Amino acid sequence: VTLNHLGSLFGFYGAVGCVLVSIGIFSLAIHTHIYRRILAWNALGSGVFLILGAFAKRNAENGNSDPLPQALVITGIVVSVSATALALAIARRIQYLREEDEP
Amino acid sequence: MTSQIEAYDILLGAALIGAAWKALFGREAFSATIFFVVYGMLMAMAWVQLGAIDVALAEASIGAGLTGALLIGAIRQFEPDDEVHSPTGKTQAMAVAGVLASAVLLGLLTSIFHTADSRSPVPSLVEGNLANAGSSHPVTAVLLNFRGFDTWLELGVLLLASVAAISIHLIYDPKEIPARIPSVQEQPGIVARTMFPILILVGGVLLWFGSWAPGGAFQAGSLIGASGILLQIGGERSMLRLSAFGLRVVLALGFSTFLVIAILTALTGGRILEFPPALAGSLILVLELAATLSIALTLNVIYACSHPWGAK
Repeated sequence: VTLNHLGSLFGFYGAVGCVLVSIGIFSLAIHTHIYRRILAWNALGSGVFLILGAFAKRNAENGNSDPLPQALVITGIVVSVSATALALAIARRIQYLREEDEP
Repeated sequence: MTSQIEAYDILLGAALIGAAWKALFGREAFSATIFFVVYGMLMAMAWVQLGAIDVALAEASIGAGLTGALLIGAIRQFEPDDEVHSPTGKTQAMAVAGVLASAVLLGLLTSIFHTADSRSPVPSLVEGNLANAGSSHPVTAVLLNFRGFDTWLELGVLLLASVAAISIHLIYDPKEIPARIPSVQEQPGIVARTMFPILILVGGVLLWFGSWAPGGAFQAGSLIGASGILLQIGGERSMLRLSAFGLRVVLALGFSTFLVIAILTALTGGRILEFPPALAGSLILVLELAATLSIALTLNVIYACSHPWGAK
């Protein structure tokens, strides 16, 4: 790994994205509660988006970032929020059933 | 060549990682959620630095705003659990996870830096065909024309998500969503009613701008969707009669408009979703209008369905 890439916008935000992905994986592995895992998945996903954004900057021509990764990320953000909403709805259902069983 | 970073980028990157750390490993679940919203806003600022204004708009309104509203709405139900406030206490498990995460970090960094000098042919291809795309804004051209298939399937995912959210809601609360819920305070309702016309107007402007500048269906849809969610927080839910035919039509509007245009383009001799240059502008506008309405309503339905009322 050559660290001089870190000085460019591509390398720097790409590296930040990598860090976000890895702490997302770490959090996913050490938490047992479903809510924390949903948070971790979201952080992991936005780290992947940021890496894609770094590639958009890498491919920039005349100062315009590559539109293809941008379009992919916009699509991805909308999909991930609907997945999050669905995950939360399922998580709340699980919680509701668990509370019914307890007393 | 890619441009160099400045002190601002280093601060922003450090703040991003710090906010993510607090959101993922903070002791208290509620403050972790707040840090997650902060993280989303910082992420939008990072997208501005990367020259992706469209993504920054989407990230600020959907990634930070709507996800935040969903998470804050859900957290109260989980707060009584002890588990939600702390990770598993096993040192061995944490060590294994730490090694795994570090390996992923190293692998990712190596492979990303390895590609630092390669370039993609896509930007010049997009640039070269922009005149026939029906939109002079490259991101809109990619989303609605060159890669329209992706956007079509994405609207399919949204439709599936809304169907699933409605189903889960109906399983444990088969009543209709009440049209009005008396709010504890009246300020949220006043703010929502004042902001509503402004947000609709700004959403329309963003949609119109999308044909030549940052903006478009996703940003407009999420902004108009946000105005509906503000109304919901203020207690107004009359637009969400889940059994109403009109509501279901609007939920499916984006996907089915794509379907109709796909069939029409296939029947008239072209490939699926291959727009004739002369018509591309109008087709994109129709698709964007339909997508905006569907996205705005879908976001409201999944927000409403993840908030059980009455059911305790």
